[in-house]
Amino acid sequence: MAQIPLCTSFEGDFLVRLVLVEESDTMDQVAAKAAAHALGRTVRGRPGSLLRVRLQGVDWALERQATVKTVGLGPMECIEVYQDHGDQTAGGGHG
Amino acid sequence: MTLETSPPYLRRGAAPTHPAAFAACTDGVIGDKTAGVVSMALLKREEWYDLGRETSWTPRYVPETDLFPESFSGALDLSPETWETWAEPQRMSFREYVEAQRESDAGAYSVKAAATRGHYLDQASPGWRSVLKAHYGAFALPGYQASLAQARMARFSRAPGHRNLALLAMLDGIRHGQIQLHFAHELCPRDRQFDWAWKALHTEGWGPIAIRQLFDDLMMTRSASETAVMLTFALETGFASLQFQTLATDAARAGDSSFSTLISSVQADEARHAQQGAATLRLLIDQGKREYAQQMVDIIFWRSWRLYCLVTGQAMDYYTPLSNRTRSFKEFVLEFVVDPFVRAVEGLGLQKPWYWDHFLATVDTYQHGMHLFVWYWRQTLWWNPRAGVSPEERDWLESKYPGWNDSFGRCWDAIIENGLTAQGDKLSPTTWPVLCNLCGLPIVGAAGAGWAGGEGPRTYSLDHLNRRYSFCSEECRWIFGVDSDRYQGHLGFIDRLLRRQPPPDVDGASSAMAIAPGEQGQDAEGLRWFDRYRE
Repeated sequence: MAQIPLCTSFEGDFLVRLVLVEESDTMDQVAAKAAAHALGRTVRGRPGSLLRVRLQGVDWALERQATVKTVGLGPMECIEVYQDHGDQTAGGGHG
Repeated sequence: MTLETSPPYLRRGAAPTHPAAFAACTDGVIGDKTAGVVSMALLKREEWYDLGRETSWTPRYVPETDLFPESFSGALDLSPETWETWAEPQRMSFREYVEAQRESDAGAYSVKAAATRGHYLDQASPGWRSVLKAHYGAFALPGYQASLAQARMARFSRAPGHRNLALLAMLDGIRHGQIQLHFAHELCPRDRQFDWAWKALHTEGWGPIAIRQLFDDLMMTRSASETAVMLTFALETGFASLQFQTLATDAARAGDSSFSTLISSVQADEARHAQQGAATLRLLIDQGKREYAQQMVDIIFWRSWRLYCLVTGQAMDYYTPLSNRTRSFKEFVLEFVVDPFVRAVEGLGLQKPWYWDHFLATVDTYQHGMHLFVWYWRQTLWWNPRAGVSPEERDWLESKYPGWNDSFGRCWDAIIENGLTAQGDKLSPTTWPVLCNLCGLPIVGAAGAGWAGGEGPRTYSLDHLNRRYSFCSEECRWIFGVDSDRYQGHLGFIDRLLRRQPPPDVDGASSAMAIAPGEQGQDAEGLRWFDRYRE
């Protein structure tokens, strides 16, 4: 199965990265894949925080167990991954 | 087909013969008395220039539309007589051009010869060497490419005066390509990355693709009138002339007399070229084409600005040793780009580009994101980026860009942490950034505390003809939409990667970019700058 490229902006990072995911990946897995490229490299981690995924410009998080397919993420879809401290949905998505 | 003109080669509306025109054609001296030919005094330029430059023939065997196809000329339904009113503020004859340029070239080449003997490069700072490599790779070949654009204007412009100026500028382009390649070639034995002065734009790296796409757009695929505005007014007036002026000053301060002389010579020519654009804009506006003129200026100012940030922004704010910095990139842009550009466009009766406020906002951020990208993805480049974030340099950055430490500084904090804990594998990338489908540059924005704000990294998408396009800004998306037929078929670097399954990672793509080990960019100081944070 072909991988799906997503435009991913990780909270605190300086650019949008290309992250390849599978249709069957959950949002937690998508967040982990995005984090592997940015967290601890150009972005410092916040202890105790949970990674969440949201669509660019939307201020609510996608369900953690929802998959790329069920959410309907297509090639070059734009998402944001942020560190949610205490499992609170963070605001401030790019409008 | 041979074009036959009305004998004896009538200039449009002129008398059949004119001794002044004849004198101009023969450089003013026909012969001497001993050879049985009458000598003729050399006329002053103002006595023949108007007549000599107006070489508009009246074709008999082909229609004017074949002689000057619209796609090449860009006459915009204006009559030939109207285009003949095109007036250049500065005039130059071929004789004057040759005399001035011969002197200029002789000076540059002799300084270069002396500097080569002095082995200046061996003592140059790592940052300055990177400035030279980045400049040569990005601009040496486009210098020659510009000669082709000027040649098209010299042949197809409907304005006779424009054709004359473009002819001289065409010669400039040839000289600029040659002299920059020659200077870089001399340095190849000392550092093979200088070979990329020639090689860079013949490869398929992200940078070369972006640079080629820009110059193809504004120089190689436009009509004479469009090229005059886009190349000579917006690019050369707004940015290229300043790029060269900045570099000439920096080179002098860095003690690089060779490069300083070279670049000063080029800059003087660029300033002369700019007259073509201003005169064309003036005519278009006078003839009711203001909206069209404004759109061209808006398009190319933004495109030039993006490339300028990539090449010049980091050179001024990061590569130049702190002791040699006279001003920040932002201060330079505001003083030498913004003020003159606004005066120029408003003087012509145009407005500032519609995105002006956003442009001013990006002067605080864009080059910092580009610099982080270039340093982190340095293995994809032909020069060695200098990080330029020692404690003292961070203080300087914070003073020039308040909030820098809380924004881009946080990304550098993470990098420094990895550098200090010897996690070298985290000092290079594991994936690609998303590159803009218009400018070809990464989608960067304010980091750290600025990430969630208006200047944070954000993708501007467009679904068009069953393809999703990703842009770095509203401006790039707008430019695409203005003429989507022009841009929609272009495949950027990321598009090309994604056509391969699985797409290659950063290491795998290096072979496609033709960057060999030994040529790949490395940290300019061998990562020794981390030691400052161990103290």
